[in-house]
Formats: sequence, C-alpha cells, structure tokens
Amino acid sequence: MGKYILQRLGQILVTLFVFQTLLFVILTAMPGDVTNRMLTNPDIPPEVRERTRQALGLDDPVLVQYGRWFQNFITGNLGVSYSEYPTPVIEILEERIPRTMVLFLAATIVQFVVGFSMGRALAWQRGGFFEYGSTIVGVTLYTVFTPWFALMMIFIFGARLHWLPLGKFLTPILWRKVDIPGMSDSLTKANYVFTRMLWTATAAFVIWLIMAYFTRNLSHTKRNRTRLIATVIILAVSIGGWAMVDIGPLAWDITKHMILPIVTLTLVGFAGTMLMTRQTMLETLREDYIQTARAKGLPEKLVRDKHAARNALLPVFTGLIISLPSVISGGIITETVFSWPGMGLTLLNATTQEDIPLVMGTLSFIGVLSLLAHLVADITYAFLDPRIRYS
Amino acid sequence: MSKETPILAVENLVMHYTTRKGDVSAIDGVTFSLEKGHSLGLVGESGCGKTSIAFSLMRLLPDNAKIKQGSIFIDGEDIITMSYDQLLKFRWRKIAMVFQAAMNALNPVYTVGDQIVEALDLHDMIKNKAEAEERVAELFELVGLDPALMHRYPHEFSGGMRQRAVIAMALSCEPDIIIADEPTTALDVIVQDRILREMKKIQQKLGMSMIYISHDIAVIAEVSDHIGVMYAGRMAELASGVDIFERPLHPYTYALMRAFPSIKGEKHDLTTLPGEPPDLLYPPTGCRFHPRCPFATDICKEKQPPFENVGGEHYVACWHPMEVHNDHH
Repeated sequence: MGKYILQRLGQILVTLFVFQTLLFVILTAMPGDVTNRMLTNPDIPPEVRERTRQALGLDDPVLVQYGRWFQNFITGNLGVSYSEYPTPVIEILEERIPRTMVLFLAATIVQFVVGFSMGRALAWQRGGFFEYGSTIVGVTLYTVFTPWFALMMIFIFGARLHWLPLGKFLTPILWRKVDIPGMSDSLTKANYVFTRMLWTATAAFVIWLIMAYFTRNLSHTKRNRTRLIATVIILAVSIGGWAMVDIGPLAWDITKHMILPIVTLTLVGFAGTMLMTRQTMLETLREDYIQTARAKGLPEKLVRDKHAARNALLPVFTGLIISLPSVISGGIITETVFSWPGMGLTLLNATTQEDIPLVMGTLSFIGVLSLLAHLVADITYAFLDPRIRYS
Repeated sequence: MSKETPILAVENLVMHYTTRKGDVSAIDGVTFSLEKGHSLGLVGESGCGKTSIAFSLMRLLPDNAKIKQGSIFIDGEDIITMSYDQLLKFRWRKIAMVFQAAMNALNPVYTVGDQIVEALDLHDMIKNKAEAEERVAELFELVGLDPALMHRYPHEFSGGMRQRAVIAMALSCEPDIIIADEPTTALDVIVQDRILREMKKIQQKLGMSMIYISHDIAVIAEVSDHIGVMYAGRMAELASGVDIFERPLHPYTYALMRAFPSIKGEKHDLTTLPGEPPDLLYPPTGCRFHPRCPFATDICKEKQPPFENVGGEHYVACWHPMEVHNDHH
C-alpha cells in the first residue's frame, strides 16, 4: 500500500507538470493582456502601457516567461494579482478557499446522504407513489436550468417569505456590533470565525471517526444505539460551545447564509446519486448473499443496510470523491447567483479582468485538488472493498 | 414428542408464481415427510420445482409466489401460518440452507468468520467475541478448514473452501434440518465427492436431517436415505434409494436413470427422453408426464394419478406403474 501511494504521488507530480504547462500555454495563447484596458483610456499614453508591460515582464519571449513562472510555482510563489494589486495571489486563495470548501463540502455531503438514502429506499420498495414521485421530481430538478432555479429559490425564500438572506455570506451590520480584539473590518473577522468553524467541524468529525472505530465490534443494535447517542453528544457539545462564546451569533449568521445555497445544490443534484444508488442496489439485491442473509433470519432492515447498501455504496462513494473538486469549479454559477465570495466568483472575476496570475493560481488549486481526490478515492476504495488490493 | 413424529412434514403443498401472463403452477400437491436424522434427496430436471420447495420450507419465496394450499410442519409448527417475527427466529435455528452456487452466497465485503458470527449473534448462540471465535474455529475444524482462515475474505478462498465455509455457516446454529440446494454443482468432481462424503459424515455425527436437491441422481443416491423424483411441480415417485434404483415404478424415474452413465452397474446405452418439460403456465391435463410418456393411455390424459403407497415406503403417482417394470425385466 505504501509503495502504491508513493508510486501514485510520482504519477501525480508528472500529471501536475503537464497540467500546469498546458494551463500556461492556453492562457498565454489568448490574445491581449492586462494592459489592454489602458488602450481604452485616452489619458494614458502608449509609453506608460509599454513600460507597464516591461515592468511585468510581459514583453519577454514566451519561453523565458514560462521558465520564470515555473521556477516561481515550484518555490510556492504564485505571484501578485493584477486586479487586486498588490495582494499576492496566495493570500487571496487562502482567504477564499475555506469559504468555498465549507459551502460545497456541506452541499456535496448533504446531497450524497439524501440521494443515497432515497435511492436505497427506492430500490427496496419498487413501484408505487414514492418511487414515481421522487424520480419525477428528482429528474426534473436535475435537468432544470440551475441559475434560474437558484434565482427562484432566492425569490421565494429570500425576497417573498423573508426566511433566509438573499445572498453574500454575512450580514455586515451584525458583524460591526461584535468586537474581536485586534480586528477592525468584518472580512478579517469573518475569516477568523470561519476558520474556527472549520476546525470545530474537523475536530467533531475526527472524534466521530474514532468513536465509530471503537464501537465497530459491538452487536448491531447496541452499536447503532451507542453511535446515535455519541453523535448527539458530539453535536451538542460543538453547537453548545459555539452558543456560549461572543462570536456564536456570527457563526449562526454564516450558517444562515449557507442554508439556501446548500438546499438549492442538493435539490438540483440529489437525483444523480439517488438513481445511481437505486441501480446498484437493484443489482446487489439479485446477489445470492442477500438470499443468504435473509435465510439466516436477518430482519429486512438489516439485510438492506448491512448487506445490500454496503455493497451498493462502493460505486456511489467513488462518485462522491471524484465529484469533490469539480464541485468547486462548477460552483462558478452558484457562487455568482448567491454572490458567495469564494473560488468560483474569484475565478470568474479574474478571467474577465485578464488577471492571469490569479486565474493560474485558482486553476492550479483545482487541478491539485482533483489529482488528490482521485488518489483519496483509490485509497478509500481499498478500505471499502476488501477485494481490491494494490501492490 | 414421540419418536414417530417426523421433523418435517409437507402436506399437499400447492404454490403458484404470479406472472403477467398468468399463474405458473410451480408446486402442485406435493406431500412428503422427513424423520429426524434421516436424509431425503429431491431430484428432477431444472424447473421441476425442487428449489421452489426448498424456498417454501424457509419461507424465502419471492413476492410473486403464493402458497395456495397445504401445510409445512417443522418440529410440530406450521411455518406457513407463522408470523414474520417468529419466522426470523425460526430460520437458520431450525432449518438452514446451503445455497445453490455457494460461490456467491458469501458477502464479499465481510470476513467469512464475521458472516458466521452474524448468524450466531442473531440467534443468541454466543455471549461475547471470544466465545464467537471459539465457536467459529470449532465449525471450521468440523468442515475441514483451517481456523486461522476465519479472518479472511471470501475472495481469498477457493471454490471448495467457500463451499466448506457455507456448510460451516449452515451448521453454526445447530439446525434440525439443513437443505443443500445443488451444493456441489460448481465444483470439480473430486472435490464434489469429498465434500459430499464429509457432509454425510457430519450429518450422521450431529444427528441432523438433510434434504439434498440436485438434478444429478447419482449425487443424490450417494447421500440420501430416501429419494423423491419430481416432475413438473409434482412428486412422481418417492422411495428408499435402493427401491428407486432397483425397482423404479414411474416411467420418468426410469428414464432419468437411463440418462446417467453408471460405472458400477451393467453397461447400457444412454437414452434421452424425447420432448421437453411442460410450460407450467399451461400444465398438461391429467398426469403431467403423459405427453412424454411412452406408456400413456387415455386415462393419463384425463385424470391425475393419485400419489399412492405401493408397499413399504414406496410411493408413486402413475396409472400404469407395473407396465414399465414388466417391460424392462
């Protein structure tokens, strides 16, 4: 296994090199550069534009530019953003990656859980109103034009019913009221709160995993009860902890802003997971070991969850992991509609303003994440399916 | 319970599968019983209803199957009228099964040992993990597997080993009856023979009752005290193994035996039975075998022959049983 991971990491480095080179070629091949905007301003003389190009090194031969850029990339220097000059690209990414990750990780997991449980139930109870109803609704939402649907959600739940905020990821008035020592503007505060929320979630998840590991040998009913109680305790402690500190309301404000995008993304996407789960479940149900499980006297619910769903989970889980990085780039539309200041919106703005360093930085991040996700998928697959062993 | 009460008594069982085209009469009036410690072989062509009987005995039939009539008594309890919760406790504890194509009868994502422990745990046969491992080791030894293999996954087992593991699983809750549905079909002849012999030995040692199901009368003959020959959802003939081989009364039994070569008995030409088993959506009138029977007369087409005792424990459902007998001796 260790050797396999090393080998895969080597492959990832090569793929990353190819990816980065292609990225550079494509972006350099595009006409114009950031100084194009100076052409439309009659107050800027052509010499200034020429000098700016020289200063930025844009008039050097392409190979020299490539060499310089590559050297910087290896040393971790992603350059300085043109559109938010002189903020380094890495700082912009550091600020926005968590926001996107929280939103889309939550949305993907919710979508996966909803889709998986519905698909599981569909395969178990074929026919009838539930199957037709959820399939028709699911497929309709899956095929609907996402920006329109997102706008409708904002219109109904934000503008008409006033249940949820319209967009952005915080309510500035609320944030001005709360003081965090050493921080003046709400953006820094937001990052402070955000990072802490992320750490809480990560810690809760790790504790849950450890708990699941230690309860794995209990009998089924006992294990389910213990795990349920432990889950409730973990959730209560983390939410309760946040409720007691001053920045609790701020965290709640962020959470409230996340609900609408998450619900929208879930509604639009759950049908994919649902139909795939249903299909693999139906295939699994034909297997002989399902018959064996029933013959042993297992109640139907256990046959479904422990034997059928466990095997149907394999392809669905791979789908989930592979979709993780694409969900960030696919978030451009969602982030624009909900004005969520994350990676998708950053990429879009950087592209329209020819901010090549920022575009490169964003795309590099998505590329690295994609490559890592595939590796993680391969490794977890070996844990989920004992038939798979890497050598 | 008196010694004469059979552990299993099936009376006039009628079962239909509902399909879009109509009802398929898969089991039609089957009656047999099984004494404690004895073994019964059910033999017949594919689609004759032998596996349907096995699944009826465990109430594992698919949703479109309906038991129309009859009763199945196992250890004095009628399982057809049993509630679902009772049934869950009954399965595997009273009657277990070694499945057809045992290769796929084990779930690939759990270790073989865990799958046996699951059954033990469900039926409260064990108190803790240590006891469970001890019991699994005991079972593994009984079926000739190395106990160290219990933590391995099914794909790490060979076909014969998996078969043994499945047998160990069937034995785990010490059931009164084990049904072995084509237990060795997927294995090569040598392994097949060895496993059959060992199953027979274990059965005698533990005093269980067995039902073997196979299309191969030679396999059945080796392990069963009694043999039931099935044709198109009905029991054609039921007798001791010796009687079936030496005094077959039903023309179908006779034809079935001529279709297998024997290395012990005298040489004979292998004969095949003309025609095909009937479509049970539209079963033939009278005796279901009459369209293929060389001795059929008018009565065979009109009236179903009764399943009668013709002496000793020999039962047959045929209007002209002796004719066959006289013709060939």
